[in-house]
Amino acid sequence: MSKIYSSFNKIKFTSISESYKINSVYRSILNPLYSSFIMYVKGTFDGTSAYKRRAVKVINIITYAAYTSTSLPYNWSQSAPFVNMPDISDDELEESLGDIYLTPEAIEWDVDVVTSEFKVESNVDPKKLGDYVDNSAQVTPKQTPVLASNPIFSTPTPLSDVSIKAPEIPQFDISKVWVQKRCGADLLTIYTTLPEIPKTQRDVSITTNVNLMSDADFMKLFPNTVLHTRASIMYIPQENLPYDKDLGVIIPIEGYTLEQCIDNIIKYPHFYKLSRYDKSWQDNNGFRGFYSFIEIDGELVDTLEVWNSLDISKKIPTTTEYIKEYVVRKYLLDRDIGHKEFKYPLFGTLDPYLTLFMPAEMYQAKGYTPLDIAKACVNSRISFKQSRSPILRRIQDNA
Amino acid sequence: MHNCIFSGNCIKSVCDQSCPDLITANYLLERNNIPLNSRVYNSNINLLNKYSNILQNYEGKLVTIISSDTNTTSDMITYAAICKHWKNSRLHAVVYNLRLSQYLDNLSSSWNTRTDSDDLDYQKIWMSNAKVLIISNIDYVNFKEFQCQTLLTLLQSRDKPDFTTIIISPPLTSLVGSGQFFAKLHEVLNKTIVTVK
Repeated sequence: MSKIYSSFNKIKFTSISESYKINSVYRSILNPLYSSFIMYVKGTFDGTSAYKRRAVKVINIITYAAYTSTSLPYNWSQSAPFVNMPDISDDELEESLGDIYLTPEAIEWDVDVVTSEFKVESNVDPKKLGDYVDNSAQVTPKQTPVLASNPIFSTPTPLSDVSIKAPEIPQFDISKVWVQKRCGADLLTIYTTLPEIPKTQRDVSITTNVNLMSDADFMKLFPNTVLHTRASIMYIPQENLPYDKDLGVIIPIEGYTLEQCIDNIIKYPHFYKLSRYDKSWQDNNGFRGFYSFIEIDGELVDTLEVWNSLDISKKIPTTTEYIKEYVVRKYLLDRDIGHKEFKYPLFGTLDPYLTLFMPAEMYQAKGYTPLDIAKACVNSRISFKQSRSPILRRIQDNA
Repeated sequence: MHNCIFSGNCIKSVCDQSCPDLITANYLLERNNIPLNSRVYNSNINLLNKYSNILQNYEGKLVTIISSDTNTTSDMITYAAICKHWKNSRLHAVVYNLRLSQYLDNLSSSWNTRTDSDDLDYQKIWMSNAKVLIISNIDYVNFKEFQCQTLLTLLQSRDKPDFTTIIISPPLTSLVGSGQFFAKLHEVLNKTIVTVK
């Protein structure tokens, strides 16, 4: 498709907010962003080709976000527009924007070169932008907030982005075998999944290598809004039970303080396919649903059989979800704080922060260190999947 | 399994050849000629997500997608459709990529042999029953009356609320054909073009 703007028909950089021929529907959304970006460039322009390429990419991505109803990352800021921009290929931008796609050659750079300390900033290798971002963020933690009312930024992170299930469309690189072994007639293989650097928590797989991830990559995993990851009934206030609008109902557990119970919900905001395993159990290949049984004095007893005899049964609703929550949270608190040894432990690992369900700022406000828990999240997910992988188990059994 | 697309994320209790996920997904992948070394597994995920959105937003409708690389696009849409519909498909060809030029060749051959080949029989079954039918290779067809009528009849037979039909076409001006029905086909395709955003 031919472009409106080219080296023969240039658009002045400082006129982009007025004369860039975008769809009028998006003008009210985009013009303030263009204006803000023009101001930023006026203060930092160094005249290099690299700078121009980066600047043009920012404009194209902002336009692309409006046209495709894609949200820009919550941690993108107009005061640092080159930072935390999503990684969208030029091909995709060109395909989506069509004739209004911009290139550096199509712009008349009517901006003066700034030769002060900004020159230093613009010399940062774009490839190292992630590291640069984090350092600057520590120096100036309060960046100008993104226009909260701007529709571009209002799309909340979908709940599916933090799911533990496999991505809806699995991607992998068959040229990169992560593990392979013949077991009987079966050739068991796990290929390196893609993207190798997870873009969402759901992208974390058995093969994810945390060593490839920069601090910025970890920070991108936080959702931009609070996600309700527990069962929906947990977000309905109950009489006589503590309630937090973000965390939901806090189930009191004997022997532990309210703060410990809250911390437990933040560390373990939802449970997925938990089970116990014993080779001697004939049913379901030795697996039993974790919630169905409670271990009392080294014996597994049917949860429903003993439920009415437990004090907690008089305090919380007798529904499946409440019983599940109680059984698992009691187990986790006993394990993590009580350091209790279990005869029938949980099958596989379940480490803290398996799911990040709040924006980084909210974790910080509650006293948690965002970067640390983002790293814990990735490690926890890798461990969760590796420790449950039937393929790795077969390979180990045949070793 | 060496050919399981879920192996990097699987947490099932057992991995063997009888795994329902493996069997169901692989049936559809094999049926649609998407081998393990296909480029779809290592392609632009943003584009795949967009195709997935089209499948969702235009469910039960006829859609034409213009592409300069029709083979890659049809494979990617087919893969996106398989990922959306493999679950509970019970070994039915719920997603089928009909390569139109091959289908027309099989039809022509059947006139010479006076019998339908197995390939043709299956093509007819799958294209009439698939929940999502992707029609590709139309750029390899010289659309005369018969070819146009065959495709228009197929599109008409798919006009049901449960059936999604997606045609992958090069820019319409590059289609080869002539006659009144070609003009009609052109019109139908033109009316149903969806831009991938």
